[in-house]
Amino acid sequence: MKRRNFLKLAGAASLAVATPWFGGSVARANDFQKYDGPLWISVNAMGGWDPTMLCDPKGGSVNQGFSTAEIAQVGAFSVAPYDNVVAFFNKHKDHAVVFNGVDTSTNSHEPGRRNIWSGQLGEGYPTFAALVAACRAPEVPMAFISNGGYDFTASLVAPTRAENGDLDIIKRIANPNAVDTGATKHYHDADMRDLIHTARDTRLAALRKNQRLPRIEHAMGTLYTARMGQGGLKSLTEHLDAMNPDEGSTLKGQASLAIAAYKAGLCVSANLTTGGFDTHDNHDTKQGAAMATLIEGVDYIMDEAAAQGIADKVVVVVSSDFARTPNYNGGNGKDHWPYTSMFAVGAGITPKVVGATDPMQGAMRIKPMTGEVVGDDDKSAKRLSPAMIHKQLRKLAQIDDHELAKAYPIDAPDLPIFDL
Amino acid sequence: MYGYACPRTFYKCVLFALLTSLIACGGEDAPVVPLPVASDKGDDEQTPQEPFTAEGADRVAEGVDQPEQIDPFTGEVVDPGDCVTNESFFVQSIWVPVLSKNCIVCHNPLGAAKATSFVLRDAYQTGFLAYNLDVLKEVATYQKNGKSLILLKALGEASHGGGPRLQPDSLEFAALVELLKRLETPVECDEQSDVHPIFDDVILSDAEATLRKTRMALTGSIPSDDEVAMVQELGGGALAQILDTIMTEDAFYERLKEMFNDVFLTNAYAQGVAAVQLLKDADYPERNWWKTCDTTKHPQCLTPEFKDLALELTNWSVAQAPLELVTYLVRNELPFTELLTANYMMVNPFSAKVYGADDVIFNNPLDFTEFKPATIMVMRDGEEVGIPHAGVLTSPMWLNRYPTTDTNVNRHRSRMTYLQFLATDILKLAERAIDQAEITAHNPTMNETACSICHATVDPVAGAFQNWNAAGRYKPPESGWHESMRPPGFGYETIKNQEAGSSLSWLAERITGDRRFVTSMVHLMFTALTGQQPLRAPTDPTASDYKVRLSVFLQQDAFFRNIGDAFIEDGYNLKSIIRWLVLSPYFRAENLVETPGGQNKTAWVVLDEVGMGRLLTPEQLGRRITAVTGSPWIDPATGEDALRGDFLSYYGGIDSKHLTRRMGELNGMMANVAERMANEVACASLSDFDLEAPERRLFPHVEWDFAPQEKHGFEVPEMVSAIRQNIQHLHQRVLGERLELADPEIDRTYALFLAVWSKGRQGVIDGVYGATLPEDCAVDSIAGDADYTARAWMAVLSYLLSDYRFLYE
Repeated sequence: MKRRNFLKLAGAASLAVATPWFGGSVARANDFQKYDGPLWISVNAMGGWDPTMLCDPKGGSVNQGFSTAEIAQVGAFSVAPYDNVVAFFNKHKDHAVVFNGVDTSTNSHEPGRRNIWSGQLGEGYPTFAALVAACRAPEVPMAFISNGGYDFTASLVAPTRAENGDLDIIKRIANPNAVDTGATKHYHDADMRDLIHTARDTRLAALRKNQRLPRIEHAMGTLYTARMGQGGLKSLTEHLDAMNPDEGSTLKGQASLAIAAYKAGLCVSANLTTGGFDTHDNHDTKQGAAMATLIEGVDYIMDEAAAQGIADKVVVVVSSDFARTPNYNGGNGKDHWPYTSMFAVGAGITPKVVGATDPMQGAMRIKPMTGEVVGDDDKSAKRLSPAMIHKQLRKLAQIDDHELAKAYPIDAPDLPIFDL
Repeated sequence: MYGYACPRTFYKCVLFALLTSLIACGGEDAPVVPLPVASDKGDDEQTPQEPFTAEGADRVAEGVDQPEQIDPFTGEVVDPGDCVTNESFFVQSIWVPVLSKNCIVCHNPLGAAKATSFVLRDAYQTGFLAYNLDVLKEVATYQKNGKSLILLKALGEASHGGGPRLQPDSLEFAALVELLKRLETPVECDEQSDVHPIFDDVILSDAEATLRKTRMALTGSIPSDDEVAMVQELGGGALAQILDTIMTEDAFYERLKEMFNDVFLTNAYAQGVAAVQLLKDADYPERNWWKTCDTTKHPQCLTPEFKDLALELTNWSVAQAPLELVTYLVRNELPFTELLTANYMMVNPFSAKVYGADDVIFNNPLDFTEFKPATIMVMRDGEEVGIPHAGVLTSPMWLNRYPTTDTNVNRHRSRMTYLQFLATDILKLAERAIDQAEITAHNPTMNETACSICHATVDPVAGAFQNWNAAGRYKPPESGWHESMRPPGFGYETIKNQEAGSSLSWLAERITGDRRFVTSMVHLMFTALTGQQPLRAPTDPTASDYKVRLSVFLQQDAFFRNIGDAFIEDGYNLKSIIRWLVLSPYFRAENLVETPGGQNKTAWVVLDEVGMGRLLTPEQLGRRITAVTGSPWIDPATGEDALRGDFLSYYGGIDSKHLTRRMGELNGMMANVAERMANEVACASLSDFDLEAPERRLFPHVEWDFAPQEKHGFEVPEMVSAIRQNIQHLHQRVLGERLELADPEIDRTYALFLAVWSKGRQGVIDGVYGATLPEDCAVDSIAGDADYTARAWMAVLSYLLSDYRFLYE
């Protein structure tokens, strides 16, 4: 769906960007309802990870690091016999689901990323995190935080780019009227600031009322929406202060900001990224290091969520562009391979493994409705596709019936993935 | 190659719409823009063709001889009064229902019919419609036993490998028969009756507003009084003249570099030693010349200021080479094809030393802005070897920005070449699902269709980069190019062995000779100036809005090709593209006429991409602040330009390294950055009162202590008049709004001033508020602010500086 369709839908759904201030009273831009639904976090392992070193372990010639006999079993999950991997699944096995043999149908990075995170190989579908933010609370000021990866929004919601960098800068942004970061002095006295805001919003309403080109009207609506949660950003700094979070653009730093923003009622979803997975050479060493960072980062998210008392609110989905080949190239690296994995941990998830690959990481199929795994030659079954998973994710997020979600229909069979 | 658009008629219609709008907007003279020369491709000679006489088809052919025309989508009879051009007929009645569904599956460059003369391009490739019509025109001349070969093939005759594709009594076959007749006797329409005109009901900016918009977009400045007077007197005709002046200004070239860096991203290396570090001592022994700044070699080093800046400027200078090539070509109105074919590199006094380009003479050896072309040599085994330059393609900056590996073998560089210079996103081809289980052939990129569909296009160009290694060094492979890959080349051409040493120069000639290069430059400038992506051809003919979308796409595509023609006619002068774009309705659309009931007759889909509504980039906003207030937004915390420092990334900017995509939609964080900007700039702008009134940019009509009422609450008309006059001035200067004093917007702003002033003054009396300005805002000319007038002006400025019309264009 393109933006025009969104505009129509936005009108139909009375979304924030189409706030009905035509001819009516002007809503104050600083009014917004804090969001307290689930926090959706997508973790993009950038470059194409190797799930055979994680949740779809293979020995033999596929991996030089371990043999088939060494593969570990942790609860419902077979995992690579690395200490950090085993420890991670031991810790989170009761609320994790693993998808193996996910057919991305491509060996190209961008299409692969797009398919994994939107459920469609072709262009045009928003990333899941953006879609859920648009359906849930597009008006909150950091509804969808993006740190890169596939973050196409289809203009459903304005993404926020926000590294958890210098807290002083974030404070200055959160308090735009404050002269100092401690907000003890102000450019405009509080009453005057309110007068400015009122005049500003009234004028914007007048401009928009007289504007009939949809593109420009949309831009005005976006400005209005962006201002709705301005005041709320102040509480972001309070939460960041209280959390004493990990800083910087690392996975942990990205997670800290997302959690703080959520705690402040400002955030619905976030795209987090971590790189180093495109290991065309020296695969085992490089991939192992990237995987360690990934696992540590996801673990940090769950720990921090628990520390902040929101463990029952957070869902983390993890995946990558595609997978790596089941063999090594001349540089001891692994190239691109379409059958990959995804996993999710968090609220509302019960232990399960969906789908599989064969011993050489080849495709297998599953039977819709039952999820039974069969060989790739059983054409009555389907290969597990990102679309099938997204269909269930939408149900888990309770947005499958939302007008915006229906505008991006998913034509895929139902799978019993989540206990809904 | 570009005959499908029925150039004379179609271009005339589009041109008429564009130019009349400008003429109407301001004056009596048409703008002095180069009218594109109508292509003569529409007059392709047609080989006389005998009527098709196959039994079964005759009946249909007779049918289409009748004046009735059938809409192939609906089967409905088209109103005979509606004229349908050949091009539109081809798109709607042939491409969509016939070729795209029945033919292209085999008749594509990699399909079963790839060896035939009938090879089509799919919708992913820019210019596919024009190309396909040309192919069809050629094939339409083929006959067998006096019968049209393509009609015979369509019916499964004449040994058609694909068997029968159409039924002789089908609408599709009828359409094909009609097209052949149309090719013999092209249909030209006086009116674009089959077009959904995009701009029929669109209100365009008038000449003065267009002037301001253009100045802001190209230089970040506001028009001078003389320019405004000129436009007011001469109207649209003066615009083109002023535009020519604008395109000589340094600020324009800075903006141009910004536009191209958004594509090249080579400024990733502009700071520190990042650029110099990309070079190797073995190639350029003097790359670190600044470390010693040996006065025996470099007399400038005697100058302390030169020595101090040598490191910083040297690195910056090396990094700027690709972008300086852009400005050099445009400034000198050289063919922009040299972007890829230039057999030189741009150097200034600093980078010339790095590259050992000692023979370049500079007017001022300390002037880092003085760039000149130079031919670069590298050291090989103690000897100097000339580099076969190919413009940007051989720039160490560009090559490093798009790196390669042993397994990627230049494919990324190939992809970026297609994307940046051929208007082609190769990854679109990768949107087709592949089944890894079906890929069993040895060397799949060569032998599997699923892989070849991309690699047949990508790999030859990748091979053309054969002489440049992962570090961007000129290092021809000793054993030649990989034999397991397609040979270096472009399209169907292969680079001969004797040309292998300069394969990128060879490639550059082919690319710049390809019409898609022209298209890519038009697209690049369109996006840079409007913030919009060019439309793509719709691909789903079953969609309810398909025909409208197709019409809109075709109009924009025709417009772009029209600009492309002007670009070529003007000797590939990039300025011609800019002239056309900024004077076009795409740049100037402001609103839509109001129709009774509020429902405009023009469909939403037609207007979807009309009008800019573009959020300014941090750099653009920074220039606008400077233009309006006379000073940039200085970050009090750092003393530096805030929008190029701490707030750059938070306001959606790029660093060309990790942040490479600008954020086009305002979010909550950005809204707050904008508000902080408005407050801090309003505060700093009170210094305008330090100037004499005639010299002030913001407050020429008032003094800071002008109060609208005297102490008993009675209005002081002279003061109110001056305040309203200054508000009028601010609306014009800050927002570009030329309003009457009685305009409701003047009332609104005055009401804000009055409310802040009266509430503030009372608050000071009551001891609620202080009697002075915030400390950071204090200026020499304002002694306290007990009457709250200065803070009332601050409020007005904050209000205007955070307005939609200040933050967007």
